[in-house]
Amino acid sequence: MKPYVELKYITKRFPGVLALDAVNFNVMPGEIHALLGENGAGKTVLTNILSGRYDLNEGEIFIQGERIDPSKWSARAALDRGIGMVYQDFMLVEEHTVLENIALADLSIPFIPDFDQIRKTIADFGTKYQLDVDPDAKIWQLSVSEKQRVEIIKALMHGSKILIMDEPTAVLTPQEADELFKIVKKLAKEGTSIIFISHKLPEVFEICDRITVLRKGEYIGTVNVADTNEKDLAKMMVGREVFLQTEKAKYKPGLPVLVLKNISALSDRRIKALNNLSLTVHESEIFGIAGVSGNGQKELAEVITGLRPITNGNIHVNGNDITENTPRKAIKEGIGHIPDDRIGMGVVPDLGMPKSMVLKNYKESRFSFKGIFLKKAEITNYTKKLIKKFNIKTSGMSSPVKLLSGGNLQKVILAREISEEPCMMVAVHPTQGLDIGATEFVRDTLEKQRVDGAAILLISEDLEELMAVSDRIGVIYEGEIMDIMLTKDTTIEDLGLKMTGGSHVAA
Amino acid sequence: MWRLKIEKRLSYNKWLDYFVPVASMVLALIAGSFVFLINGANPFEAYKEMFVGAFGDGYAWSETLVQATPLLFTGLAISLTLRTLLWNIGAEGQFFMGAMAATWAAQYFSQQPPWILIPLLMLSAMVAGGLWGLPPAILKTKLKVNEILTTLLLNYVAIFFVNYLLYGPWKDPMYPGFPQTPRYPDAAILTQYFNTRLHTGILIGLVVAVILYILYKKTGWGYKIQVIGQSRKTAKYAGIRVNRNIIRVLVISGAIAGLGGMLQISGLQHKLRLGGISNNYGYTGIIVAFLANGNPLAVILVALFMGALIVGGDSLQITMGFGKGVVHMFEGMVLFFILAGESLKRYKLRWVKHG
Amino acid sequence: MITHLKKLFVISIVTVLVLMPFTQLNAGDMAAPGKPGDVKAAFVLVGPVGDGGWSYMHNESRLALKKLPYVKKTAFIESVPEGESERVIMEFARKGFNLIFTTSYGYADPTLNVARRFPNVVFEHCSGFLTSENMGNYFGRSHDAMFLAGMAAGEMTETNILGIVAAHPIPEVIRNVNAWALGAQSVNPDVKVHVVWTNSWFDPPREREGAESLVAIGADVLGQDQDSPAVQQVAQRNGLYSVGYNSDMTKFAPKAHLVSAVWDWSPIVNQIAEDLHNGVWKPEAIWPGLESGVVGLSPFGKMVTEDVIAKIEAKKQEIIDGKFVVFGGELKDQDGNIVVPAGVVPTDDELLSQYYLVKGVVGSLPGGEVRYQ
Repeated sequence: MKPYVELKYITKRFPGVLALDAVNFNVMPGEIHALLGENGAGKTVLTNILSGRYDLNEGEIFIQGERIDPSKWSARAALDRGIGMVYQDFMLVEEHTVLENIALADLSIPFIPDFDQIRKTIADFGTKYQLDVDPDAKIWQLSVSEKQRVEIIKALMHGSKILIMDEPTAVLTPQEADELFKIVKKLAKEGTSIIFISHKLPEVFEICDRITVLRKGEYIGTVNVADTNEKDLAKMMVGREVFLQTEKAKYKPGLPVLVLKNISALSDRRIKALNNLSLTVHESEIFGIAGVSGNGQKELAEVITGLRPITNGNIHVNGNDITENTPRKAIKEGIGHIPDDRIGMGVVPDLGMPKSMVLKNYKESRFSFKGIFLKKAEITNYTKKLIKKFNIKTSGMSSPVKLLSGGNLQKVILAREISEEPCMMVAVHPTQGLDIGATEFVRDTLEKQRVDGAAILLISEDLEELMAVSDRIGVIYEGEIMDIMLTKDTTIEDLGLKMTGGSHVAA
Repeated sequence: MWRLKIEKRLSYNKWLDYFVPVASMVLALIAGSFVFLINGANPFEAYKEMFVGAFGDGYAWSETLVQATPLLFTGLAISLTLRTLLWNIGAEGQFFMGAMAATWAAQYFSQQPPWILIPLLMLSAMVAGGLWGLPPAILKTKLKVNEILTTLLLNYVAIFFVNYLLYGPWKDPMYPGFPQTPRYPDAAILTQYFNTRLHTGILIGLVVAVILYILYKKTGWGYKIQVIGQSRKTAKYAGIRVNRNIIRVLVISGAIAGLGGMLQISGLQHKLRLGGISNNYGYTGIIVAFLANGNPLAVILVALFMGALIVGGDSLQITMGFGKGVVHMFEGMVLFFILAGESLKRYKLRWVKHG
Repeated sequence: MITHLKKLFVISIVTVLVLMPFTQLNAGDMAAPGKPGDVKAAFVLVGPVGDGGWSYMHNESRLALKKLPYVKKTAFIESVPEGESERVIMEFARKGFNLIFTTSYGYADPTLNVARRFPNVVFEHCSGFLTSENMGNYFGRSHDAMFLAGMAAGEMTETNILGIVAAHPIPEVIRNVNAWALGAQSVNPDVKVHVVWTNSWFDPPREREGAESLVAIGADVLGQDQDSPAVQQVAQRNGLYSVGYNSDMTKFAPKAHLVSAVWDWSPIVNQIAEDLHNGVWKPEAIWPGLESGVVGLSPFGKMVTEDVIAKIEAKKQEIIDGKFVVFGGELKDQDGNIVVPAGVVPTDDELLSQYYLVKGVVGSLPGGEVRYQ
């Protein structure tokens, strides 16, 4: 069988960066092909070249054996040759119906569309690929996975022979992910090829046929799933053996640190986001919060760190009442915060690293004279020390922090928050988007904090991480904690069910 | 077929910092040559006239500095708000209020000696300018009203209020019917140097610029407002009281603009006079602050540059007989190229072969 | 931008300091007096030279002046903001001009300031009242012409509502507004004159808006004391009549234009230059009237009947002969207070500080008593 698409010796240079270095990649018809690699490995750049969004510097593109003139390769040309992208940041008009969105996207549909025809096509896809979606629903009424289906239908309507899916499960619950896998397998069976970008090895093994691994812009190799295992793949990705299993000390919780009682709070849209929520986190304990995104996790973290006022209930830290919480109070009480918005909240994005390192403690006498004049030299030394201690890779201390890779950015935040020796740490999606090396580092750091006696609230959508790291897990659903259990007494499937309100309905 | 493609620069080249402004200036001068050629003049002669008019001798320098002084103050005022990602379009009104308050103090405390009177004038001007910045600050922080609108609208209030005073209660009885106040008492007038119109205002402006520079670079407060300007979310996260500091910034910005208004009158005009207070300095200050990218030392340079452009432009009219339109066209072209060059530092243009 | 500006700043300061000849710090004493008797004249204009009105007429006088044999050089600069006029006036003085005309009331103080620095240069300020050893002022009794133009307006109105768009509420303009109203009332006692202030000499959009607002309240003849012909155009577009000011504005609104009260500065300007040439110049306040030709009327529009023209011409002669005084008593202000008692002729000083609107004018003047607390 001939590959549908073949990329040969693709090289892409950005100023000062070699993003792709002679990378080979091909996709067979009806194949599910995983593109694997750490952050910055070049997966996204490669798919952007394939879908015509980037020009390439060197290399060749073949579609069905025909050599493509690189100067004629554009997003439009890629679309015409059957290469479709399933967007992650759904490009849908929220106020319109599914039908209208699909009609809007397909350029072959005339100015005045024949909606009955489109409706029929959607229904056909529904039966053929289990892509069930109500054509007359408004987009805003849909769940995330339904929106994803609409994106897939949009791509298929355009006659795509290849679908590029960039971390499609990142936003889904395990159940939804399973359904997606069914659809993907069905599509492959009918002859559509899938390029599947993922960090999660188990799902790659579950659905993919072949795997291409990239590392720092280099092509490492392509292997058949049948001929490899998780450990080998991880080695290919990071170039060394990694142990994803975090070594954990025995669970010996101490005194309660954070006590939330009957907390309620409103979301930004003035809707009740936390509803009579109570929980306690102890010394030397990692308390995991599991939940589908948008069930109050963000608001919970903000309430504890003083960024959001509560409408009801009370908050105590080490017995001190901080019900009337503010970020200043929270910092004073020793509450550290690893925010999920690393660039927008965790650091000062356009400034050099020292400005992000002393964000919370610049007033201390070691960094300033009476809080007025800053001691530049001390701040610089302090930053240097932390860069060394946390092994942060940077092109220079004064270059904007936002240019750091995700892992190094997270290290900056960790370095700052941990150096404050917090008694309580709120970590929100601390490893999201990080590569295996950085993920390992973050988890180890949290574990070290735990051993040192800190109380840690870990909010994550990665259930494996919660299972690997937490001592106890609480499931949050619609602003309430549905269930709190010891990690050893639960399973991922159980969590997944509870996250979607399953046990709630059952009870 | 070739077409031009705009791409975001993914890396930051240091040499662009030097190359772009020089190149934009050269391009502006080349483009400006056409303006002069069309009007039948030798561009080299025109440029020489402009340069001589603005920098040709000590006197020309003094006039350029005089012209730069109010722009220095409004530029500094706006650069402070730019650092916190706020737009103070109200420097014009604050300038007027400063001039107004200084005039009040000059008349009310007219018996005081200069070493008391001048500081009193400065203080009143800063208080008045600062107060003029307060309502937008409060509306911004309490009700999230866009400060661009509120500061802009207060300009009109300030100008109408000053006009009312000039036509009404403050009108000079000895100067029949004309909307202007009596001349300041001598004790309220700043020294002019070298038998030119150069007055102490420029020195005070330089001091303010240096103070702001130190404030930005060396102090915790400067750090705080920089964080606020970079990311409100980060600032809140770090426990910085964002609203309180936004109010401070807008009030201090108003105070600086107000001080500029006082110096313009006390140093140069010596009385409040319709049409003799500000020539859109508050608005030109926006361009100054923008070009200086919020850096107070750069504001000095840009204010000087704008002053030179105005003075040199006038001398172009005087010696070469151009109309105002030609001069404005040239000035606009220079600013256009510099601003365009700024964006080229972030984006690049590339020819792409197509088809 | 920040870093390179810092560097550029240092570089440019150093360069310029090196290049700068420090010899010329003194602003004064630079003007090298040319041959005795030569005149080099400069004009500082408040609006654009093409405003079709005030500044245009001043530039016309410059063009006429240029033809005199002893006038070696003339120059002008337009649209000079009043707050920045001092530099411009000084620049002319430094460049060797020995006769400088500054043509807006707001230039008074700046002109005086520069005059003190350049005792060998003659300054002539238009529409003010200050004089010093080397500074005179000149103006004309435009209110006499405005009175005559107002007669035409009073004759032509059907609604008996007139409107006038006026620049600044200062005596110079107030006199014109009052005279215009008195002229209209002299032929049509029922007429009401509405005045709108724009607070700007030259601002065509604002002048237009002012005119439109007068049209909206039913004015059918529009007048102006503004530098642009915007008001004329509004009148023509609305099918109404208009009275111009400054220059003959016929060409801007041929169907609407009745007549303009016009300036011709040449008699004054030429006389001043000649006096300077002959070494007999003295600082004076020159304020001539209709007899001099400095103020006068443009040709009438076709719609103005011979009767009306004859009536206006007769009145003009009466004024020239001193038989009629525009602001002669008895004169009442808006509120009916007698401001000029019967039989009294106001002095020039009284006219120069006129700050009331006469009976029949609808509108107000800003202000009140002078106080500082």
